[in-house]
Amino acid sequence: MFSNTGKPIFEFYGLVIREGVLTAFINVMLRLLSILGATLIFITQVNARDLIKSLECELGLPKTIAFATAVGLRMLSILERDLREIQLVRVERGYRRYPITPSDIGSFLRPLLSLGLERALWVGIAAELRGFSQRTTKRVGIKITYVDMCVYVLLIIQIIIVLIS
Amino acid sequence: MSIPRRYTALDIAHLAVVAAIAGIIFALTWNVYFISNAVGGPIVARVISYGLWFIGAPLAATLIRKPGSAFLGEFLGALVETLIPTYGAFTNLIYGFAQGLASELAYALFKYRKYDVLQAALSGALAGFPCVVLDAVLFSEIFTPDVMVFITIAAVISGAIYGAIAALAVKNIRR
Repeated sequence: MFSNTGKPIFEFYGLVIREGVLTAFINVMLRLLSILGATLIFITQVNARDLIKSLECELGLPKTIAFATAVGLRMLSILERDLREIQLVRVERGYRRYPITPSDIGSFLRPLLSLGLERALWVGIAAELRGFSQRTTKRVGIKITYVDMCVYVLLIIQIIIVLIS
Repeated sequence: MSIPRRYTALDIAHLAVVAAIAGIIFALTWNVYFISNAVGGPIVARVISYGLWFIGAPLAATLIRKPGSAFLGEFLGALVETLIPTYGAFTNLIYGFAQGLASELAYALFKYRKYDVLQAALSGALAGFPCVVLDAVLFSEIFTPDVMVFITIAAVISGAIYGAIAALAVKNIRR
């Protein structure tokens, strides 16, 4: 709507699409895809649990955040299953499958939270019984290898080139 | 009465659940944003979808009721969203950090003694400001001044609505 300027390219029942829209669309999509591509490369090469463990041991991430993230990632698949069950029950009761109104979102959130909190209660009790509060993190020093040095040097060169140009 | 500050394993487990739920909501909200942006433009898109990206903070704070819970709820939700991953990728972490801090301010203003619907709505609303700033800085979403004002108002209103919904959802759960 705000980028619809320039020469008209396509018309559909009175709606005119101009070159400004295409340029803006390509601009935003390429930017998003480059960010997404970099992240996908990172995510596929790294196991999430190993990532959290190394963040805790090497970078000193507090155990609170490390534990919460690890449990949260574990719960993703379980919550996804709960979400599908909620959708099924809603359809059987004659409601919408997908939330559209804010009250729909509330009706999705309440059972998800209720089920999740029930699990969280037992996870919390189990963690406490296993001595979570007394647990100390073994810190491991960051090891920089030859490959890491090459990557850092390339990044610095890239930054210098950007600043110079 | 002293404010409890120490996080127990139970609080962290609750935080994990909120992070997982928030991460899923954040990931699904991208589709809502793109559809509403295509249909209604940037202002309508922000009214409909932005509050969903701020929902982690009021959800966590209303549930856990300790200092720092709003920030952690939003930031961990963004971390889970990053690991899923979604369109925003690593920029989600920056948004989560900034929005979390802004949401935490809402509870700090009341000295961490109140975690009601008002505080939740305020926390959602305050998260709108850093979000609009980051959109301009990271994604060059800069419009004319009057449009920027409307966009900010839309983000703030959306955050307030969904913040209130999150608080009401937590309060209505039978525990």
